[in-house]
Amino acid sequence: MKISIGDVALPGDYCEEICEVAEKSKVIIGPGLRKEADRVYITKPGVLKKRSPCTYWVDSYQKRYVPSRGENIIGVVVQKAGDIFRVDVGGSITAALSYLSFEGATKKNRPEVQVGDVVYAKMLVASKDMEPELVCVDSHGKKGRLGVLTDGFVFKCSLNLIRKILNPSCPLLESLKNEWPFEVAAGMNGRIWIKANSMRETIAVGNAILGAEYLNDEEIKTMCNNIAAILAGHVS
Amino acid sequence: MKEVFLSNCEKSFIQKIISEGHRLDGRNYNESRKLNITFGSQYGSCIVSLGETKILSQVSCEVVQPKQIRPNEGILYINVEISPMAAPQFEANRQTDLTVYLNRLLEKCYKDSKCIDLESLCIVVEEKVWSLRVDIKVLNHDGNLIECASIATLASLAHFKRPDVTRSGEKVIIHTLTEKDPIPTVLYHYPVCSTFAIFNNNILISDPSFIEESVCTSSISSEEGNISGGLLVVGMNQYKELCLLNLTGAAIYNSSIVHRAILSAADKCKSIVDLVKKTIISDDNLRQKRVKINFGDIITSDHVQSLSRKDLSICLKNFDLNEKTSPKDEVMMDDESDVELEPSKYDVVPSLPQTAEIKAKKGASTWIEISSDSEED
Repeated sequence: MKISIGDVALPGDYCEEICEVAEKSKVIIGPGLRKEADRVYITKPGVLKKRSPCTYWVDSYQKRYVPSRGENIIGVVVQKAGDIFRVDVGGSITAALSYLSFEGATKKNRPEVQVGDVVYAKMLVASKDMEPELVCVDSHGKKGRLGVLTDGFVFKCSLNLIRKILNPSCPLLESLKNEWPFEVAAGMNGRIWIKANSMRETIAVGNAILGAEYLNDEEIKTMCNNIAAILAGHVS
Repeated sequence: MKEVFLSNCEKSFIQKIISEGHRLDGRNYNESRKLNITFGSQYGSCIVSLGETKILSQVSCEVVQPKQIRPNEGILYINVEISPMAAPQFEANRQTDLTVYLNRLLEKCYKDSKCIDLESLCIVVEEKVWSLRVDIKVLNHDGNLIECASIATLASLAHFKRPDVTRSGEKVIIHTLTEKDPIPTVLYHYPVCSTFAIFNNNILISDPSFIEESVCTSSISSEEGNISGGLLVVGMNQYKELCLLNLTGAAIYNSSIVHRAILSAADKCKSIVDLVKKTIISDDNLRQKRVKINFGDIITSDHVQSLSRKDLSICLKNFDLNEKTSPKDEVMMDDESDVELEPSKYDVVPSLPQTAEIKAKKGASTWIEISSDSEED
C-alpha cells in the first residue's frame, strides 16, 4: 500500500515521497526502511517519520536492542574472561568491555569491576558480524559520566520510552527534578538505572518513568505532581 | 537455556525494599496480581493470566488401552511446554529443569491428589479407556508460573467435556458433539497451587513476580550469610485440605513460616476455586444460549490496547489508590489473622465427606494443629 509521512506503516508498504525527494537530493533512510529495486519499502510496523531536510525512519515499538555505534548503554557484567569483561546489553550476544578502557586503567592498575556490576558504557564497535565492543572512556581518556554504577536499581523498558524521556522536549525529568533529588542513567538498550535517597523515592522515580510511556506532555506533568504528593504524604 | 542475569544492585534493592515492607509493584505482601480466566471456542481450552504471566491450557482426549496394573482407570497426562515466546531465555523444543519441575508439580497436584474420577473414564475394562491429555503452554513468563499453570489446568479440566459413548455388545460407538451431549469430567475436589517467596527466613510474599522469584532463590543473596530464602508451593483444595507442599531454595528453620503460608493459601485457594467455578458456570450459560465464545474476546473486550499496561512493574504502594495502609499494620494484621483462623481449622476438618482418601488428609491437617501448639509452648 502507498503511504505518506506520518501514517501508520506496516511491513510491505512503500513510500513514493521518499523516491521523489531522492531524485533531487541525497536521502538518509533509517531503521525500518529498505531500498528494494526502485522503491523504498517499510520493514517494521510503526509510524513513518521525517526530519528536515531528508531523513526518514519508522518509529516502531521495540524491546529488543540492536547495537549501534556511539550509543550510551547500560549493561550487566556477566563474566570476566582474561582481559575483557563480557557485558549483557540485551542484544543477541554479549558485548566485550576491555579492562583497559576505563579511566586511568593500566596493565598494573586494573579497574575494580565484579561480575554482576552494572556499567554505563558507550558502544564503540557495532557491526553485523562482530561482537559489539564497549568503552567506559571518551576519546580524551576521561570517564565523563561513564563507568560502574553503584547501588540504585536497574529496570528494563521499551526502546521507545528511552527515546521519549531523553528527548529534550519531554517534560518528565524537568518536572521530576524539582520534586526530590535523584540520579538517573538511561541506556539506549532499554535499561534505566535510578538512585535516590530512600527506597520509596527510588520506586517513585521508576513509577514516574514507566508511567510516562503512553501519556502526553500535559498528563506527564500532572502524573509527576500526583507522585510527588503521594511521596510527601507518606514521608511527613 | 541462557540464564537470566540479575545485577547485584537489583538483588540488593529488592532485598532492601522487601525488608522495609514494600514491594516493587506496590502490592502488599499477601496481595496477588489480577487473575483472569477466559475460555476458548472448544471445551477444555482456556487462557489464564495472572498479572502479565499468561498460560494457555488445552485438554484433549483419545481412546487408548489402559495400563496393566489399572485396567479400569483412565489416564491423565500433563505436558508443559515453555517456548521462547514466554521469555527470551528459553529455547524452542528443549526440556529445561523448569519444565520438568512444573510438570512434576502439576502431576503431584492433579494426579496424585486423585481429584479426577479416573474410573469414570473407563469404556471397556482392560481394553478401552479415555486418556486425558492436558497441554500447558506458557505464553508469557512474569513469575509465578506454578500458580498460573495450576489454575489453567484446573479450569480447563473442569471445563472439558468428552464425547459420549454407547456400547452395544462388542461394538463401541463414540458420538459426535451434535449427536449426544458431551459429558463433563468428574472432579472430586479442586486443588490449586499457590506460591510464596520467602525472604530473610520470615517474610512471606504471595504471588512473586519474576524478579522477586529470581532474587529469593539466588544463592548469593547478600554478603551476610544469614539471609536466605526460597520458594514455597502450597497446593490446597476448596475444602482447605493440603494436597501438595514443595520447597525450593534454602531450608526453612522456622516452622511458623509454613504454618502462615498454609493459612494464607487456604483462603486464597478457596477464592480461586470459587472464581474458576463461577466463570465455568457463566461460560456454560453463554454456550447454552449459543453465544460464540473464543479467545478473540480477550482482545476485543479487555485488551484493546494491549500495550498500555495498567499495572506498572514498578509502582508506589498508593499510586492512583486512595486508601492508605502502612506496611507495619499489614504485618500486625497477618499475625492476628493467624490466631483467629486456627479454630476454623477444627470446624472444617470434621465436616468433610468420609472417603478413605480424605481421611489421610485429615491426618495432614492435624499436623498443622500440632505444630501450632508446639510453637505456642
